[in-house]
Amino acid sequence: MHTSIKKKQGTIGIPRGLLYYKYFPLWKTFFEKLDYRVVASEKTNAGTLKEGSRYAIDEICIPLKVYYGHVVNLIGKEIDYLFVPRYISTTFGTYMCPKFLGLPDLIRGTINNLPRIIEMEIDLRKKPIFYSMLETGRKLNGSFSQIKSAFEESVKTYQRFRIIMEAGFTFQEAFDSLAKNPAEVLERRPTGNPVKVAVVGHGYNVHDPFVNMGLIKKLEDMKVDAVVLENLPVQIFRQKTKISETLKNYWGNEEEILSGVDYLFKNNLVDGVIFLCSFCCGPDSLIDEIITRDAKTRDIPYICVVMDEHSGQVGVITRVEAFVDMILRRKRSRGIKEAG
Amino acid sequence: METKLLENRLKESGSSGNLYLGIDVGSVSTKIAIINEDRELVFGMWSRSQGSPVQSTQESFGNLGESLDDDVGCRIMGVGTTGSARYLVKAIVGADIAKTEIICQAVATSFYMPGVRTILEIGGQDNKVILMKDGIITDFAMNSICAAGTGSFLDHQANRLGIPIEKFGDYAAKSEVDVVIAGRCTVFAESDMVHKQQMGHSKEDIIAGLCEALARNYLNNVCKGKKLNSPIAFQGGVAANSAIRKAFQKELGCEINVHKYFLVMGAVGAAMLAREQVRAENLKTSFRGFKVSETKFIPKAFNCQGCNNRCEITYVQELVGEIVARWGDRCGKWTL
Repeated sequence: MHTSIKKKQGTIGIPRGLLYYKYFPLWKTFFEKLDYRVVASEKTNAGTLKEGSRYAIDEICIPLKVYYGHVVNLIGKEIDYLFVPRYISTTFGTYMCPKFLGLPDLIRGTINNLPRIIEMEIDLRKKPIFYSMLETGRKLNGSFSQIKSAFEESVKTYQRFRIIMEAGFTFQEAFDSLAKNPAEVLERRPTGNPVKVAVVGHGYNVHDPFVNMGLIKKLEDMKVDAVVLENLPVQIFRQKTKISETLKNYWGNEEEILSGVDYLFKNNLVDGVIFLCSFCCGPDSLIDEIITRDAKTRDIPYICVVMDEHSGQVGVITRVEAFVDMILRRKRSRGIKEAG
Repeated sequence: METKLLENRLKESGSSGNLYLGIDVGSVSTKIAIINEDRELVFGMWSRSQGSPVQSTQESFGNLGESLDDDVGCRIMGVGTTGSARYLVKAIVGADIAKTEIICQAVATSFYMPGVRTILEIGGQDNKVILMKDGIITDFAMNSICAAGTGSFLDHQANRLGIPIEKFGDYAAKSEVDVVIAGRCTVFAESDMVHKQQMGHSKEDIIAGLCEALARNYLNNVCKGKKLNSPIAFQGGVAANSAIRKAFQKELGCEINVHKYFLVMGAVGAAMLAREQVRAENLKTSFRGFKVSETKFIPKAFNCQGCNNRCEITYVQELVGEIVARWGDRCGKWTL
């Protein structure tokens, strides 16, 4: 059954969608240490979305349609296994969106000719991640000691990845520099543009240039420093956010966005915040309102850019351009006032 | 081509002095504004555009020739473009800057109406609200994908009822009965109108109802959750419609101001921003002159086969000459 490519135990395909943009370095190291080859699907392009839309139901969000597209792309790549984790909770006391909870079932139910699916249940409310990885490692013929060292190694890689991103790099830059010598000193990404803007949202919206129509690059072209959530200190995401005395957020991804925005606002770190939001994302629409109110009381420019598969580039660009211009003129007039 | 000359004080302002040109090319109209060094409007023209932005701009320039002396082109020290086709037009005429409608509207309005707090702008295909304080934008919003309640919708309904859009205000003023039209969606609004017609309501009442529905829809969708402080300015082509203005006054309970330059406010802003830029950076304008209207431009398009994205690349080429603009790619390989 196992095709022996380079004497490995087999090839595991990881779709370049959803939490790929968060945990791929972790999973890649883990499976490679267990002696498997790891391939990711091709970068998102128009074909990905087209293929994905064919399988996914019409009303679902684009990130999921894109994920479907990536799964289809991997099927053509001679893989033995497809890694589709079931993310239930990734931080204590929170839940993921229901689509993550049912992800392996959704994929199995809609796409034919699938390779064997490795379904890892990640539920940090109930069990530490090590147990989830141990279970999966066993199914992949790993011995306890092998799994343990693969686990340690992958956590180390993940932590290094986070440190690199914290230094101000983009997802792709951080991922590419993982392969470099660890001794190499990390240079902080050069900043110093007149405007600094945070781009917050789910990793799969912020780090996938196809989905956000190259927003980060556009901002750079406009001489704007873009800060993403992963550029912020890791420890700020450890405290639970509080919306009000009575209201508590329990969405995992949104918890991160709220913590990040709260930190940015309280420490006055940016001139404005852009929230990239998927059309028809339930949790996002809830926290948009919360951030809007917070931004208003603190008098910090904020805009929510909604992306869907029909949005032309023009709409996004016009909004972002106007947003940046607004900040620039605001800063300039404040500067004049202070000087006068 | 239907045109409206809003201002022409070029002759009285003398034959010297620097001028700045602003061009606003929208989905249904093209606006041209020329301001002097004191930011006063000396020439303003609105024309309905049919066809491509390139054609519209050229036609407008062609019409200008009749009203302008030859030397005006030489006195233009800076050119700014705005509107949905701002980059294309910038490339064609050799403008110095291309800015979004939001910034342009805000800059021009706060010059003509100092202290303005809210700008309602309803154009052909989109509508926006801009909130300001002390001449600075504090917040803005645009309609999302849906174009319900924009000028095009009114145009379409005017056609259907056989009433020129310019007469909408007069008709609505004669309305005696309140007729409620569902304004949430253009499609529903239309079927609701047909229904009301069949029930025997007069055209006057239906038009008044339609205008109120549009105003309501705009306030609920675009301005949702925003505090609209007065003074309020109302701009864009739809501001010509007195019935919509009245509907806003009724809904918001305060005076709605429509400045006499409301049609060209975006173009004026573009000219002002061009002036600001040229003066700040001591630029020499790259304006190609009004004779650009005689140059033949050919718009072309193709699908790039470089990757799976199959981007639609569009470009504009001079009949004899080089490519003036090219874009549409995600990767930047073709952008010029």
